[in-house]
Amino acid sequence: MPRLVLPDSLARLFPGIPRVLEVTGDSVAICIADADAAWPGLRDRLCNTPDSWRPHILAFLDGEPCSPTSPIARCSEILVVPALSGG
Amino acid sequence: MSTILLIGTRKGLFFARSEDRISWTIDGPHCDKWPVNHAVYDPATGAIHAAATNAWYGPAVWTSPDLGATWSHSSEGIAIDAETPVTSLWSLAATGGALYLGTDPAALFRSRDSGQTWAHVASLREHPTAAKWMPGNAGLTLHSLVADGPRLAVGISVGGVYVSEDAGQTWDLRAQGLPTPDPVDFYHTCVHHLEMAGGQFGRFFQQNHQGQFRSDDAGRTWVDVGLGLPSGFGFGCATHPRDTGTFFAFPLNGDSVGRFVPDAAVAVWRTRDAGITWEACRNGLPQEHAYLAAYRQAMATDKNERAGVYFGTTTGEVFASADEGDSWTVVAPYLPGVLSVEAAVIP
Repeated sequence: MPRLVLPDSLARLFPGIPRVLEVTGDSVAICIADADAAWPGLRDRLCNTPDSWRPHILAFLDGEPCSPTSPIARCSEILVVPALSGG
Repeated sequence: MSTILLIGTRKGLFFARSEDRISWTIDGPHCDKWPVNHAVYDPATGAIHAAATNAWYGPAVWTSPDLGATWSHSSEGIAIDAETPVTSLWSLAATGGALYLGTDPAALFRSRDSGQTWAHVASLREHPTAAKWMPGNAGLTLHSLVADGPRLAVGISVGGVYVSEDAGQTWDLRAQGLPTPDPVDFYHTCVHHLEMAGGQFGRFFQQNHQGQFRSDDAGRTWVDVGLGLPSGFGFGCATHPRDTGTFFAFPLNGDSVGRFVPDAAVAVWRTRDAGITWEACRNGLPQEHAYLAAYRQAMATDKNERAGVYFGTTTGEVFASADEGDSWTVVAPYLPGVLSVEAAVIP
């Protein structure tokens, strides 16, 4: 199954959520929707619109930058990375 | 009876709790240290709601059913449309079993399940003048919310004061008497904050970019009540919970000379006659080297028999008066910059 890897700063908003979730779906968006069904509100923390990440969120699909619309393979890993913004 | 101050700051929500309004206990930061533009207590449910926005994870309303012991958060339904995401949350008001939320871009949302889900009140953005709204320094924000059952008034920067008397089905732009560059359409009035006075929806007190104004007819007409104040410019203001003639203003030195209190000496200005005369309340407040301001939602009154008055500052202090402004004490000296203050009296 695809895996969704969450940053600590996001996981602590959902008490009890594992840092690594096993999800189902054939696109990044569907996998996130699957995770959102189990942890309501998770998608809103990541996506600005259904097809875009929030401005300071990036995600990598098997090591490559991806968008919510990116297709996904059966054993892929989606790694969510919040920007080290500020200064 | 306990008095609780809900203090929204740049680094989370703080509570100041007191039984006597002399000694205060501070706790926080709540809401994972997200910046909190506003928080309210809903007496109908006993819940506290906080309008918060995280730079990475976006906006959400945080809700505590138990005065801050536990929290949940939701932004379910907080979307104008698929192409117009809400970027930040600004204001909350609870009335008649409903919870209202104002946002940037300026929009109004309503929750009927204590903040778990939200629905866009689209009629406001469908007003013919909405296309002429433009962002101010803080964005295009719906920052002021007055709610009294089905009667609602909102302040939008830069747009003006809009009033609905049918629970948000229709809206009326009310600006007669306010300074505006367009005396035909009356849009583009730069309201900074709006309060209902004395618990009467018909009487409003407004701090505008260009002065202090009072309305006796629910915003249809406004009169300038700034004579006697050191400046027309400011953000925070408050009203007495029962006396329709008592307002509190917090004038700053001006919009282009620093935006701090005049002469760096802090004063809350009080009127007892609906703005005809004003007096400076300074007893206990810093009178030198105080380069601070109170933001638009950072001033409040409580509903105790002798009303308490409170304000928080850009420099992180919260001040309290238990005698309607006659004397002041420090509630908290070193919080993060204060964005909002509300006061709740808990049975």
